Amino acid sequence: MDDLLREFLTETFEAFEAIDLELVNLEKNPDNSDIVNTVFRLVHTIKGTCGFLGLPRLEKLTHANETLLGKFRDGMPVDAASTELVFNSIDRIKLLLNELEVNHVESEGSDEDLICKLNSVSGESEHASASVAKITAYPVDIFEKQIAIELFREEDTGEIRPEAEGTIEDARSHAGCDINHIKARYDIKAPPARLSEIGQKQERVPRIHSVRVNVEALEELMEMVSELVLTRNQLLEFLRFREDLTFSGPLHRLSNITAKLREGVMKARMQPIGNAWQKLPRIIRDLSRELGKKINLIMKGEETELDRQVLELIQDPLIHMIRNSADHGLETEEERIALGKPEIGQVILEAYHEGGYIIISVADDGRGLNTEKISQQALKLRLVTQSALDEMSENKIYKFIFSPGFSTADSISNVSGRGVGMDVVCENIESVGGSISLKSAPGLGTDFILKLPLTLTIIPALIIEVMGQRFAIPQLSVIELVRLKKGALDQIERVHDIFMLRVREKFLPVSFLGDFLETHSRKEVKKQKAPDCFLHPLNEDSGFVVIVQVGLHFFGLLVDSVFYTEEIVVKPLSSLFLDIQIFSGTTILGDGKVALILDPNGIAQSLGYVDDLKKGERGVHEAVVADAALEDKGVIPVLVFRVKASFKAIPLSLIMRLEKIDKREIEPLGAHHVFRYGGSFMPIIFIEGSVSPVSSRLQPVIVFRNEDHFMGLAVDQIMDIFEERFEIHTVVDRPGVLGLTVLGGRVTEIVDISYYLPSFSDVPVFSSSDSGLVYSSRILLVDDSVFFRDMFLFSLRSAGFVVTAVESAHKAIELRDEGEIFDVIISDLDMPVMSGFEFASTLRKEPAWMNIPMIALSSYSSPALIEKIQHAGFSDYVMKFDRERLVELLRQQQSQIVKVA
Amino acid sequence: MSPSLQCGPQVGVEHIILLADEHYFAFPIHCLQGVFIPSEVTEVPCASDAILGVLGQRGHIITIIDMRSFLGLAPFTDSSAGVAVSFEHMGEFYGFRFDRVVEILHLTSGELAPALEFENQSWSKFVSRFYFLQERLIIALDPIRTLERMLHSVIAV
Repeated sequence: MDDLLREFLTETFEAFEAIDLELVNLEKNPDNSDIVNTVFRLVHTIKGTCGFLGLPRLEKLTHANETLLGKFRDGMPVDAASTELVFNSIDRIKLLLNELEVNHVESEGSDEDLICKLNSVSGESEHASASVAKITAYPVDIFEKQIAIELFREEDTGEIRPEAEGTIEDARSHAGCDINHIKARYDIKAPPARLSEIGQKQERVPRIHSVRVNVEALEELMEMVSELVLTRNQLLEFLRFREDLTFSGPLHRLSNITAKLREGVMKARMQPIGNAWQKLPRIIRDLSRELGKKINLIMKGEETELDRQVLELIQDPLIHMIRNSADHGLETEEERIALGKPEIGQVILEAYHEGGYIIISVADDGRGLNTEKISQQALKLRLVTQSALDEMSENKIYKFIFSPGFSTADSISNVSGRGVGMDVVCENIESVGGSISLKSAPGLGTDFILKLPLTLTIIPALIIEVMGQRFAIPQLSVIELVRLKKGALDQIERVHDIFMLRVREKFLPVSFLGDFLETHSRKEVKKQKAPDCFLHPLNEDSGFVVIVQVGLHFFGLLVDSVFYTEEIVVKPLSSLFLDIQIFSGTTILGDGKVALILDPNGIAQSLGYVDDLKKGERGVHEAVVADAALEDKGVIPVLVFRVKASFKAIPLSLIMRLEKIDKREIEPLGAHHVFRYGGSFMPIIFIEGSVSPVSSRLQPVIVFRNEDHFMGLAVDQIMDIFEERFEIHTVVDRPGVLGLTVLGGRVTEIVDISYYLPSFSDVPVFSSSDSGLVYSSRILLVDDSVFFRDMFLFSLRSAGFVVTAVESAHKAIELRDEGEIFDVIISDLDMPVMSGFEFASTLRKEPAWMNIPMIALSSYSSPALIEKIQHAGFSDYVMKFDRERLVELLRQQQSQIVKVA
Repeated sequence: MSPSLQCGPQVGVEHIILLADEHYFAFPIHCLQGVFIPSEVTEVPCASDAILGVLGQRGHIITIIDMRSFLGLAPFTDSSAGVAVSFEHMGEFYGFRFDRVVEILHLTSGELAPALEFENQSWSKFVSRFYFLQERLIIALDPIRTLERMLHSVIAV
């Protein structure tokens, strides 16, 4: 592309950003002659340049535009219709420029439609464009064109651009090139006369003298500066071990200059945030038309600077948020008047620096977030259970709007409500290491607050060491550092291959960072030894745990030492390392050595932590389970026992008794073990798969009753019974374990006893034959909590029932529609989406399952509740954990069925 | 455009001759960014065996590839020694680590021999020519094809 043309495009695009802004201002203050002049000058320059460059279509259109603006300047009243016309024609010009940029030639077509309208408003006829046409009629050389453009600018603004002075000076000395001649030829007037025409009162805006610099040149400069910093550091290091003071003076000066230089280059990369905001007034103006709302956009802190890379990344999220504020946030004019608010809604955009971050706030004075709507939508999307919701603070509920697919807009408009919004915004902000939070008050408005790092190229990082190698962790994801005290390793507990760190009575999983770092030497050792030897020996005296946050997950990384925090220059990783997800880049440390930058996201991924809200199904399921455990406010008594090094717990209600049996009397039977117990054989299950070396002759066994026969669970030691409220965390994904909890200050696994049922049923049944049942009731169990479902599955199956378990009423109804038949339905009352009450009354309305007896599971009892239960159509109710009563009830039902049969 | 694009077999051009486990290798000198002793190399955990690590030089990060390991030769006993020749490819910098530099030679067409069939098939992917010189077999490598082979093996893993 022609250099002149390229420059023209770059400049014009910039000018248009300014025009949009000015036109919006003009619409608001139609009488402000300064604004009219500014807009006029901008359009005039574009028109002139189009003429020189031989772009007739653009020239014609801009000319018609200029004429209308000229009339405004001369005192014609500015009204909404005419500004709309100017806006439209400017949009058309932009379109043409875009095409020009792609095709390098002006595209064919006509703009007579707009030109006619513009001319009719300005009352102008065709003749005016003739004066411009003569410019292009001359065959001119590029040099002359360039001078003409500069002179044209001079005429326009009354001054010559500093970078153009040279050109014009050259021209003056250029033989055969006469400035006056050019001026005359192009009809360029003398600047002073023109200025006086425009008006004396106009204040001169100080021009910012700037040079356009290629970004790559800046990047290169930045690289050289960081190299300089390193060299300086090496020199300082060198000097430290010398007595000689000869160099110390100059070296310190070098050091200062280097720091200033670095700062300077950093600054050169910064841009005022206002650059990213220029489009916004126009967007708000268009929105206000579209939505029929009066909106006033207030921008504060446009001069706040941040790195251009960050600036580019946040531009789209910002536009999205502004649109949201205008569409969702603000009420309509009538609503506002009815509420006694000023009819014009405010959207306030503000930016400022705070502690190494830039804070951007997008606020509106609208209706505020609707907690009720958000809650309903969250329930609908199964992000949360009703009971968990009841305990949530408003702020927590607001956060659901950052979930994928979330939208509370009643109807989908052009503006918003498609549910592809805030989650993407949130993701974009987090991808640059920023965060987003919000405040909202009903009737007063909502305020979104973005916290962004100033730059991505230089980030603060924590330098740590593992296995003799240093790594950098971005400071933004580090929440806390915990120093492991000497000999106080009980801070960390081991549950199988998972380590847990206790911090202020909470616990979080800890991984030894070295386990992720497959180095050459480790590979070597691994070849020779069993892989197991890599579990970090926790008996070392000291170490640090770096607590890291990724999305909603917190986890600890055990490292050998922590050095310091340093501002590091981030450099990308070679494409040879694309497959390694735990590193995000490299950096050169003060001593010149390269350190790898750890990527907390990648580490979380390789640890298998998936973000609950972001990863769909599985995440949602986990969240529901965790909430379900919370939901039961009743105390669940559990028995805690030990197997090898881990502590485990089982709900007491499932256990029949505790025994100590003689080890020698445990006999192998195929793959299993049995023990002669009360006239029959009892299968003995060893949780960890093998007989553990209990030194004494007696083996502690937990006995479970299975109707008339028994099952024994061999353990190493029975510890205690706990009766306290606990939370179950589902961080383990291991069969036979429901989750983890803290009991008596120890991390404890909750055993999923139903998991051991299959191996149980493999064993020949040694029951006494007096029950003599030939028919087993088919039972449908509906409970959203995995914990209870598994517990009842175990109880009921072992009592001889055929049980189908589902996690929701909807799933149960699906079974009905598929034609399944059950003898009894047991349902939890408190379930998300469709409660047990709704479920029962739904079933009672349709003939298919109308007459199947239903038993409600409740965690508490009151006369009102019992009435409600009966009213819904349940035939009976049982307290959760009252296994015996449930079995008894089911037996009654069964005998009736047998009788009927 | 990267200078190493014209790094195919060329006669009448100065070549650097490098040694790795009794084999002689050659690169056209004009393709090189530099020759240096790799020190202070940072190992990259989880990377392929042939990658020795990364080091910083004049603000650039250079990935060092151990040619012995890459070519399937006997491992280098002293991992800290050796000499590296560096190249730029697609804006990234790479260093090939050999045992030592033997000499700088002007290779002429008379010494050219066609590429032989290799026992090790993968070699033929990046060896461009052979030269016989003073009773020695010199293997001329194409740095770009070598790097592409390297990248390919990473993506394939």
